[in-house]
Amino acid sequence: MRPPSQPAATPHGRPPGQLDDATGRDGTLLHVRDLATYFFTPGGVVHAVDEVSFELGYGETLGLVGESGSGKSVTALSIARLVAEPPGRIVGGEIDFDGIDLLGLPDEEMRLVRGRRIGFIFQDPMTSLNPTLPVGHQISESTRTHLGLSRSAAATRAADLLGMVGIPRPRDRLGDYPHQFSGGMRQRVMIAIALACQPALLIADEPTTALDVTVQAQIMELLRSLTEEFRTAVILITHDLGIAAGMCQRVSVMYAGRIVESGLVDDIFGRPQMPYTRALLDSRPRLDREPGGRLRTIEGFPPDLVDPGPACRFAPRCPHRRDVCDAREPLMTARPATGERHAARCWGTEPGGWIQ
Amino acid sequence: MTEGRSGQLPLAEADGLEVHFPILSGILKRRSGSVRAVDGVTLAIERGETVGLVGESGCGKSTLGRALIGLRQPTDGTVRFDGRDLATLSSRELRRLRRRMQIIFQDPYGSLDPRMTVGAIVAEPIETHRLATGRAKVERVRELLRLVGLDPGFTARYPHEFSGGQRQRIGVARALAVEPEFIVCDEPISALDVSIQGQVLNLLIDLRREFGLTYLFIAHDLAAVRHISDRVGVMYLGRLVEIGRSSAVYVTPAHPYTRALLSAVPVADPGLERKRRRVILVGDVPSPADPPPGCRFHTRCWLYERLGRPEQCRTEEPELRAVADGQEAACHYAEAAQQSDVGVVPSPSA
Repeated sequence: MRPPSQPAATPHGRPPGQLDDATGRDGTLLHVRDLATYFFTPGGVVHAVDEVSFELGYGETLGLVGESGSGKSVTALSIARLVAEPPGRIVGGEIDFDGIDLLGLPDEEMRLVRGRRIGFIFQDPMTSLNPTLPVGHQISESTRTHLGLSRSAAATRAADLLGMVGIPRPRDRLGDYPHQFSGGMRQRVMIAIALACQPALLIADEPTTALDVTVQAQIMELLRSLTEEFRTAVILITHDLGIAAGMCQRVSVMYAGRIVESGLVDDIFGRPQMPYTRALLDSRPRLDREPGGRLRTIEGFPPDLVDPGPACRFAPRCPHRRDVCDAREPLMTARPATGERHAARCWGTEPGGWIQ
Repeated sequence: MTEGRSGQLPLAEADGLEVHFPILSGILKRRSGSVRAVDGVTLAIERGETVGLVGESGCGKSTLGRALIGLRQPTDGTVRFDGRDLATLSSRELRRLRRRMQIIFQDPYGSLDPRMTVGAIVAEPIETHRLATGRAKVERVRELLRLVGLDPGFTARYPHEFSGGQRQRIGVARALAVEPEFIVCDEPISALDVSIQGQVLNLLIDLRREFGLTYLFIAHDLAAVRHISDRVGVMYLGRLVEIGRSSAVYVTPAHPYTRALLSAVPVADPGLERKRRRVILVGDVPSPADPPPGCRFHTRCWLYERLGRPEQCRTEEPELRAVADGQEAACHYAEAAQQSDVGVVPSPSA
């Protein structure tokens, strides 16, 4: 394996963080700083996303990895300003998207950004496709609204898009309804809608979780080739570390509302600096490891996000915990020894720490 | 009746099993065809063995599991448990036999009655089979909860108060309540978070050792299946297309479908992911109501294409045949499949 500090070939052959040739701007499309999204429930204020910061380059694919409740989906919904309010509310932070301050944008302007410049794919296409409208109509809706295409131009474009996502006889399928497609084909329709206006950013939230592994491979391959072709940046939200390993240039691991580790994909998987990341990598049987033996599991549960307390949020489940972990939560700090862009939130793996 | 390798009778056995479901159409709900969910499966599970079953949704793996414990009527063929043909038993005999076989479901949310306390859920099978009453029953429920790693003081709580992993443990406790010998685990971990999946797998392995249980472990997670199974069967459109020891099926798969499945599994190693040669199956699984002629897999088979579309694959349905010691595959060209390097994930030590 090559040394992990070199930001070399990615699965797509695109070095991360590179200057964008077309625009000449610096390579950053999205800056998220100290984003905080809380849910105001009868049981208290849930700190679902707590001071989350990351950035994303043009054309880059970032994996947001974590388990349910870690805040990865709420982070994505916050970027799109789609958090249900109430009970949710973005209470702090900044989101700079291609020079636009998304959190300061009036609702109607935000609507124009969604769909036109930011596309979405969700886990279950049935919840985001309208069951009562033909798919051709649903694809055209976006190109007519955002690109001002005429009815017939939009229909032609819809057929092209369906063909592009691998739906056979696309022209004949424009009049079909979502239920007339299989699960994998519906996800392809979703991709066609999401990419219809060639957005700069695609947010894909567990896009293949409901699908068979064979169909998952098809969809991932399709996403990879289309986003590469259109130079679309992607935030890929997944609980599957294997998918992140194969699709992403960079990965951020989330736990209990926080980003706890981030870095280039090789650094995260090759030399993880947060015990939670290590535990995730070891807690599931893997085809690339010898079978047998006892799985090293993470005992216990994530903390209650109503009152996460001052400790490291992983401390109660961490096998390496020391007093300092209970006393103070560590900050994200750079880990130059294991990668140029590697950062982690752990006392034990900081220089001079006790975890090897 | 077949005899297993150990010379003993298999514990659970399907012989030429067919399970069809009628397709009803029109307002009169006339039968217009049938879905051949399980279409000629012969499988013998030995005592103490864990057999894994993999395949895409709709391949019939769950139906096969349910038929093995008498929850689905065979359309044809035989299901035997401990040597006894389930179809010949009186309902009383069947009920008594059922105590020895249990099932754990995928959905830890849907499979527990939300209006019953955890204590009542676990006690129910004990009452049904009249295994204990009063004080002894209460003690037994507490013991079962302890066994699956739950606080025995939880008996008065309701399912919604528990996390997914804990609910799955409740499901396991209920299954164990009747001291079964054979448990069908139907996707027991797929609804759980990554870190919790490992806990439940460890629990199932511990319980197997402690009680000498026999499992049929149905899952679409190929790595989890390899981890827990002695043998693994691969199903496609109602047929068993490959079966053998896990060490053989995962290392030298002899059916092109097995190789395609393995090839599709992402592994958490970016370097390996970049190097892997994937075969991506085109299209969806054909309808089990109208499977393709010849080999059912030929419409999606990469090897069929690679071999120049041999006629035999379109006209003649391959039967399972031995391809190596302890490994059978249903492919006319199993030897060619076995020699290819498609799909196999190298382990670092290999």
